Amino acid sequence: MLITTFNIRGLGGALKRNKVKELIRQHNIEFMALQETKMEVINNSFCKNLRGGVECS
Amino acid sequence: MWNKECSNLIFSFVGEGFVGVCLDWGVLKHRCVIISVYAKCDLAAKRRLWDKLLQVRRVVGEAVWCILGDFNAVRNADERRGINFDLSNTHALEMNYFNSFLREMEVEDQNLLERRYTWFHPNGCAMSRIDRILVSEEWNEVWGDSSLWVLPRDISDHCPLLLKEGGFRP
Repeated sequence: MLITTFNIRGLGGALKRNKVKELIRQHNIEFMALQETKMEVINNSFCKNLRGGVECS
Repeated sequence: MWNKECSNLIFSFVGEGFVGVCLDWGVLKHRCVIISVYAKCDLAAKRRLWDKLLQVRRVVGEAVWCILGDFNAVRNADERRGINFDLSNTHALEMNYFNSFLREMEVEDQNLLERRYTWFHPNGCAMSRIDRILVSEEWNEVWGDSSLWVLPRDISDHCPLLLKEGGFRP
């Protein structure tokens, strides 16, 4: 399994979201643990968007 | 966040400083427990977190384990630089507690590739290895021997860490 962790310190802005998208795409990451997203809710559709449309939780 | 297409979620759990999932992963449905950690700075909170994770470890049945995230703790003095390090008391105590937690948890810390540290103070004078991906022995049996890469840092003061099978550069 390809697994990653990243204390990203905020996931609100487009710059950080694009970075996550790029990491997932570039390395084919299957499981990602993020810390300090500073977001109240992260739902499945938000994750799906970060993963470029692939179904995920 | 994980790929739904190759996994079934069995259950999830959450506590002070951690969130975990139990998943059956891949075609062979390997049962995995993966826990994302974000530890506070104070030692009392960290010790509560470590105790809690040990409890979880004892309760959950057979599985391969991965505990990853920002542990805000180091295993020895070499893992920090540029920080006033008082070996006589708190820091030494914390390292002892952290090392015995790792032993009891039966998870392995791997050598970092590319960089020695995972966190850098914005002024560049202080750095440490506080982010980790720890796996149980069975993890490598199931997924093959893996290597732990520290990816370049840009949008955060932490580097992303990547654990992948084999030794090829990501």
